[in-house]
Amino acid sequence: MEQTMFGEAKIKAVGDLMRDDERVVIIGGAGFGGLLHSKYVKPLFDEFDSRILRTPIAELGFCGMGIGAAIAGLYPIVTIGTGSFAFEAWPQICNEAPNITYMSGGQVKVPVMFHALVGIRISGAAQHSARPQAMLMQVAGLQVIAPSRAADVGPLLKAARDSERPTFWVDHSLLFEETDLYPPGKAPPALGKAEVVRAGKDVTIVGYSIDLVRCLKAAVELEKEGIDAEVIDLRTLTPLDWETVCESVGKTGRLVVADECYPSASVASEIASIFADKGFGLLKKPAKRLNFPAVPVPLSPPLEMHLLPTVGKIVQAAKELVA
Amino acid sequence: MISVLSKDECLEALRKMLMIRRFEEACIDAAHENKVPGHFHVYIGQEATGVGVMSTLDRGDYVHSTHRNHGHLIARGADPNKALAEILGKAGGYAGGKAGTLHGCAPDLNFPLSSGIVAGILPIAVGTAYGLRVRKLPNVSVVFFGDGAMEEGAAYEALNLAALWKLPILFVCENNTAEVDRRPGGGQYHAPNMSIIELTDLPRIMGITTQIVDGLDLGAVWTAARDARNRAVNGEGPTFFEVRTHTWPGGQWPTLITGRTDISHAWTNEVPAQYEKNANWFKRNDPVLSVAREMLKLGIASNAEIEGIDMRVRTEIDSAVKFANDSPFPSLESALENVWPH
Repeated sequence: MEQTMFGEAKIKAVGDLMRDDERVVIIGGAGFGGLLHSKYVKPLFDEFDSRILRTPIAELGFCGMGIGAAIAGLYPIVTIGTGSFAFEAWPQICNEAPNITYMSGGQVKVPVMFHALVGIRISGAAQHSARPQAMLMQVAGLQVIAPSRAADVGPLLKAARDSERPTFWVDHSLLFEETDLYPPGKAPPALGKAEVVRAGKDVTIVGYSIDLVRCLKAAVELEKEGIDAEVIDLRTLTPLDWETVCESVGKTGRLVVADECYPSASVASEIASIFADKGFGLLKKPAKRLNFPAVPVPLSPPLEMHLLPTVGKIVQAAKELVA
Repeated sequence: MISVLSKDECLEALRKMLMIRRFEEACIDAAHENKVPGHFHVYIGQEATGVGVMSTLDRGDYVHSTHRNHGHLIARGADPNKALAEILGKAGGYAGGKAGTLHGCAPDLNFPLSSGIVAGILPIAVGTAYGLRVRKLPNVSVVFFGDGAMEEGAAYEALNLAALWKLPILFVCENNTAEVDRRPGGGQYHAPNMSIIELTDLPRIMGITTQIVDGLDLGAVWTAARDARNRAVNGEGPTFFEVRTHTWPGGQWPTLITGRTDISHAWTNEVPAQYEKNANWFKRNDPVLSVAREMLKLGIASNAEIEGIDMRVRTEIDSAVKFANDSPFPSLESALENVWPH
């Protein structure tokens, strides 16, 4: 299969959407790839120069502008840049955008997409390494998308636009140059639908975004040791597809979740909680949650690596469950 | 001076101002009957601002407001039945009871959801102005907010973004503490929480056209808004107004310190004994009475005509009260609607 980098697929998908739909504008000059990948983003910005609003360093202001522009008939993709900067715009993202459609009885649509490069990007230290996605799952009315695979990017982008819902799209900073390890599924990706990327029978490993890439690499390692892992990509965090996870664990009886968020009220804890009610009794062993421990992210690379949910830790957790 | 308006425009403006006054009185009555869920903010004393600005707008313009939105909704032409039902949390309200007083909206009039967060609406209003620019529409965005919004960072960012790209927007800052905070001895006005001397100083140095307008002077508000709208549509950028109101009774929720307005004060100038301490407000600072007096003075309307307008408005508000009271509370199923399927 053709190997497309995740970031290239992202930029192509945005370009396709802008060619297809003149309502689409980009607000924020941060692009989609950060400084490291600006050469990939440049052609997009050159082609659509007049539809890109290069903003001042005013996340609160320009995220609010995205909401207003959406109300006025555009489809703005608001590029926040580093995920930690979303906190500067928290009042607009969490307390304006998600309330408007509901509180207007469905009459005022807010089709806006906020986009950020999140996660432990290696030596970003505590103020540039935020994973705001779990916090955003606490925001009713906000759709949270966090794909991991190049093949899913275009269809999910279109689906988000068509949904007319305010959406926060999370890309991990380290995802840009990753390529798909497994071919795309038969069904096109849909909002609120997870995908079994690799079928297996011994253990279910759940991830999203960069953690999913780590899960798949772990599955390859596990295969060498005779362990057949089923790997699930959540793709959208809100709405969350608990059914696919439940079905898989019903088969394997074992669960590992990899999630860079802090342990409390995280994506991993939400997945694990499925087996306290809807999937009660399906686990044969206690679930293993691999999170970043609850400390601010340290700068020093060995400390950071020590705390990350790495491929090695996923392999180890799966082996302990299957043993 | 209201002489800038035609006779019909004057009569319509007075009708709208009275409609706001009677609507707010009905809200206060409903609050005393414990029918209003939550706290609310009335627009009494500021009617000339909302009505003056709104009279200059086009159907395609966007209007944005804050927690103090009742008057803006009515001035924009919202249905008082649906507006009042919404405040009471009823199914017949504009938003089916999900928004209430803090988040008034009339989407069919390009009046999207108001924000109850101080200054929260300003960046959104800049966004609709940008949307209008991109879509090449000959319209403007108008945002109303209080003087307190100027203390928030969001206001600074919004003003900068609008100024930077000369977006078609009118910032209408309604200062309803102008007299309270004015230091008569010092000779200069300053809001106690701002380091700037005048609220207009900040937008002015950012290159935004600014104007201080008397909130009692319907004609002045109307002229200022009309000119600002023309400049905005012609690509000349935003305008910032500080509209000043005085000895403002609207802030005494849930008690209305000036009582129910008797429109005949406009010609009798008699202040009831129990309101004697607010005599100045009745004589000079009530925009509804001021406009009525101006109309009488200029011969635009007679006492009887003004009383006739008030009577029709009161009948309309009485039926809005009935509509809102009779409207059922929303179905419990509707609580999970309007986000996505659950």
